[in-house]
Amino acid sequence: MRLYKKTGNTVHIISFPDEEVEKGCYLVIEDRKSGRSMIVQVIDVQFANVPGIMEELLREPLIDDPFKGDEIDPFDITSHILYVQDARLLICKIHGTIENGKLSSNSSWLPSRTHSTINRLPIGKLMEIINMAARYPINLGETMENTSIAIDAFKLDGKLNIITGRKGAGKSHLSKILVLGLIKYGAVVVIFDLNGEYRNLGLNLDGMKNEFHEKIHVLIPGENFKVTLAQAGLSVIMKILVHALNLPGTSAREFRHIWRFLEERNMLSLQELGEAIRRWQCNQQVKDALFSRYYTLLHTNFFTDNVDNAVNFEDLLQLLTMLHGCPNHLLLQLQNNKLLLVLNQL
Amino acid sequence: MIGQIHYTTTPKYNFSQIVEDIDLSKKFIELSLNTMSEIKEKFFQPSISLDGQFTDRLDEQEDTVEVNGKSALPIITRLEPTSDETPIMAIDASSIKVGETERGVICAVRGAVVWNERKRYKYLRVGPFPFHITEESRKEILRVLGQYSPITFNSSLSFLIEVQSRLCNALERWIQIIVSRSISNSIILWDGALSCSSQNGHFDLLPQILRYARSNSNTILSFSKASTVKFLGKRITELITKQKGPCLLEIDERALSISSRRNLRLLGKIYVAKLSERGYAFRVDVDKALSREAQLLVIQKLLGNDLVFQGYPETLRLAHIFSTFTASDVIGIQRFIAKRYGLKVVSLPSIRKALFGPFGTGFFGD
Repeated sequence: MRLYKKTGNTVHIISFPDEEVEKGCYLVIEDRKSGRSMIVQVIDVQFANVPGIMEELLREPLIDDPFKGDEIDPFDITSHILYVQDARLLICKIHGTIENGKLSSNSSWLPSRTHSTINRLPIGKLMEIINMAARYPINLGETMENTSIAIDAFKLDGKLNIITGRKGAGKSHLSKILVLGLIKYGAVVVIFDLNGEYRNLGLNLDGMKNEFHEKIHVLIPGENFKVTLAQAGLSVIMKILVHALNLPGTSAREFRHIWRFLEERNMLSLQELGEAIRRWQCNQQVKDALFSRYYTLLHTNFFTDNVDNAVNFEDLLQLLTMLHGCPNHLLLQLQNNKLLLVLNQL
Repeated sequence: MIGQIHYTTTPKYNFSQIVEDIDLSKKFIELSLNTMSEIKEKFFQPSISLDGQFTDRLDEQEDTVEVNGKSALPIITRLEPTSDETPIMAIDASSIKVGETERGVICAVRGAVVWNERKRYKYLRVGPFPFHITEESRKEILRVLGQYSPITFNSSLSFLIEVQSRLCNALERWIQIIVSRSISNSIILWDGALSCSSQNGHFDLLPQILRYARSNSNTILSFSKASTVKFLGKRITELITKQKGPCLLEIDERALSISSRRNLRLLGKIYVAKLSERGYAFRVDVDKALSREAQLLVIQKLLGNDLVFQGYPETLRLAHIFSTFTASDVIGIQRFIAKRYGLKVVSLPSIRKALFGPFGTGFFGD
């Protein structure tokens, strides 16, 4: 492999057919003269822009082409020509630099084209370099080099971790592995499960219960997950009405008055709210707007006047801890899209 | 090294057996190996200049041949395609400089044969063969090539270019011998003119190849892309450019006056052929030993049995395409040389660029 060029955070490397490099591989560009090494990852593999390749392709016979031919090539030079024609251009993203044995995110230096050597960096070696030795390993699976790869559950704690990737790359799969790994070490995991894809984490493929089954509790809004208006609070309800249900400003102001009126009289309930809107002295259009949103909230079945049916998170977590001796995996499956949107914003 | 030679056979024409029978094949390969193994330098400067291979080789550069207009006016004959499935074969060879060493140049030569078999084109490529041409190796090269024809070196031209041209020509003649002897009842197309001189080393060889071809009932047609034959100061190819439909302009040999420094010998009857209405006209040489009727018939058979693209036979066009080198070919050959002979590829600084920068842009007259 030969270093071709560097543009910003990307380097282009020329690779030949006998060098087994594919998309996703890590490479180390070692510049011995400067004593530094650059760690890069192949993000795309393209054909190298070999001069004359167009002419060559146009004249060379294709498999189903009417041309057929033989070569008398005693020096086997044709293999060298084909070797050159099959050269590839590796587009690589720079991930960091190793200098004096320390890894840094520096990508501003330029390795020497003539003195640098480029080799594949095994994932195991990479994990050593980035010091990924795990106290609480979560095994993520196998790399393309058939070595196992694990990350430290401890290092996920207290940080904002974002999984990104294209559609089908395996983001959900990875997050499920992380969830199960975290549960295993007794971490609390709360999932807002928009598509209901996590609810079966406690089951094997054959439908049998697995070791996580008892630790996973699914809360479904409107069924076993309800709250009272008081639990939700005015601020949350106002956000639902304004942002999710598009309540106009004048109507929102009237709603706030109604809420405070009921709150002061200790009458805050769904039933009293409906009654208050009906009796409230205001413009008929405002009244209609408030009623339509009121019935929407009512039909979600997420709100209840029965305190016994309402779920309190803190109490629930405490209860689960008492029952199982360790915190648990709490799964909220959300079904009403508008409601979900608001809850996400919260 | 000779033991490494691996020949593949073609389904219909078994060239390979004959390749082994011809002494030149081994000598050619040995010559290549010998010249290359004499590279004592550690470095070589690569070169990719594809234009050089498209200029006519030295052998093809004729001396001026004039048609004496007062003696006889050229005769124009209409051509009717004669389709009888006569096989058409075409031969061409190319050479290219691939690099320079301190003592000389490294070049490569390659030949190609293309034929039409059951309405499918097939080809056989021979080479590439690399050669290191130096003042010392040129004597050995010319000695080997001169074994079957004496060569007088033209000192007025750069010996490096001339030797490269000689090597290319030798390979082409070798392939022409093989094809002429291995097939029968076919039309064989060559690139260039059916002429030889005492200086181009084929004074005896060319007549011999024509005899081989005739003995197997083959006919050789030779197409020149650039002819210097003139009639009243104009190129003869310009005489029929306005003619409609395929036609042939016949040049009376008695009207030719050859101004040659090299004792030029014409072995073919010269025609100017316009094979398609919208195509170019080319000088076509047909074996002089054939009767006029046979010469006309073979051109009509070519017209009837081969595709004609812009007035040029497709088979010969393909032979040219398959023999010429592309940039990736040259890079592949350079890689082979660097790997096989342990040479390091270096780009020496250009004195012209160093001195003049962007102002000395390349032409020799700068």
